[in-house]
Amino acid sequence: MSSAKDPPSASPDQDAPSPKGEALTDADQDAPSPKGEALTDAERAKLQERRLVRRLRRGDQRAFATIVRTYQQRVFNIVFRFLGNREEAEDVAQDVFVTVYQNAQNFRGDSKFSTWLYRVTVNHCKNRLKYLKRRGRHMGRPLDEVAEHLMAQGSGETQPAFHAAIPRPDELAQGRQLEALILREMGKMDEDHRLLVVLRDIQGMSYQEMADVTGLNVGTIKSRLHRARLALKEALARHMR
Amino acid sequence: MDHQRAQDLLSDYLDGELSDESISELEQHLESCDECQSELESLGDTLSVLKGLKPADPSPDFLQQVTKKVRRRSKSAFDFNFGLDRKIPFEAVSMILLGILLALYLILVVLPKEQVDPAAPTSTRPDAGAPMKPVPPGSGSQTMTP
Repeated sequence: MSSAKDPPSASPDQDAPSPKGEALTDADQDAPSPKGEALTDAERAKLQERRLVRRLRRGDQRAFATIVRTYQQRVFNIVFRFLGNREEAEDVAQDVFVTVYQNAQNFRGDSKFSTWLYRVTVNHCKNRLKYLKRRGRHMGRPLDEVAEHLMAQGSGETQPAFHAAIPRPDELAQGRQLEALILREMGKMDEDHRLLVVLRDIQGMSYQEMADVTGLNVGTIKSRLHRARLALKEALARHMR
Repeated sequence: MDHQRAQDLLSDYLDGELSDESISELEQHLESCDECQSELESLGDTLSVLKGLKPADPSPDFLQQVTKKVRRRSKSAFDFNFGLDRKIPFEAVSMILLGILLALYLILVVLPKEQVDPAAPTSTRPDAGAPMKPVPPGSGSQTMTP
C-alpha cells in the first residue's frame, strides 16, 4: 500500500478503463447486504463510492485513478460549459482532481463524495474566471468565439466540443446554429445564472444537489434559474424572428 | 390562477416540481391563455436544446496529465500563493529571494568599498586620521636612555 504522499500512478496496463468507462475494481464490488437482501443500484453505487473514498484517503493510487476516470467527463463538462474554452477547461478540470487528491483527508463524508467534488469544481471555475477577468480575458469572449464559429460554419466538419443531437444534415446545421446561439447567449449571462443553467439543464442535477454544491437555498436557485431560462428563451426568440 | 403566477410556475412545471394541485391549476390556466401556452412551448424548446448538448469529452490523456500535475505539486510542497489564484513555485520564490540578497550585498557591502578613492594613501591603523594625543611624561612609551 502506498502512502498518502505518494503521487498516483497512471500506467495504462494497470489502470485500463472498463469498456463503459466506469472502472470500478474487484475491491469496489458490493458485498451482500447484512440481511442477505439484494442491494438496489443506488445502494450499491453508494457503497462503492464509500469504499473508493476510503481507499483514496489512505492514498490508494488505483482508487484515485478510478475516481478520475469515473468523474472526469462530468467535471470537464461543467468546467467547459461554464468557461467556454476547452484549453482552460482542461487545465481547471485537472486542477480539480489534484485538489481532490491533496485534500482527500479533509473530506469528512458528511455529504456525498460527488457533491464535494462538484463543490471543488465550482470553486475552481469561479477562481479561474476571476483570474481571467483580471488578466483581461473575459469569459464571455471564448464562448462568443466558439458560438460565432459554429454559427458561421452551419454545416461541415463536426466540432469536437459541440454536438447537436439531430440526425439529418439539414437539421444538423439548424441544430448547430441553435446550439451556437444558446452558447453565445450563455456567455453573456451573469456567471451565477450561467452556473445554474450548466448544473441543472446541462448536467441534470437535482435542485437539492445544486443547493449542496452552490450553498444557495432551493428557492433562490429556482427563481434565478427561471430568470436565466427566460433570458435564453428571449434571445432565441429574437434570433428566430 | 392569475397570469403572472402562471408565468412564474412554467419552469417548475417543466421540471416536474409542482404539486398535483398546482399542476391542475396551471393546466387550467394554460387552456385559456395563448400567451402562457406559447411561452411554455418556447421555454420547453430551449430546455430541449440545452439537455440535448452532448457531453464534452476531456482529452484522452486526461488521467496522465492529472497524475503529472500531482507529482509536480508533491515535489514543490512549499509553493507560495500570495493571494493569487495561481501558486508561485518554491523554486521561483527562492531564486527571487537569492537575487534580492545578492543585490543587497552588492549595494551595502561591495559598492561602499569601491567608492573610496583607490589613489589616496590609506592606513590600516585603526586610529589613522585621528588627532595625535600628547604623550604624558614618564609613560612607558618614552625611550629610555642608558
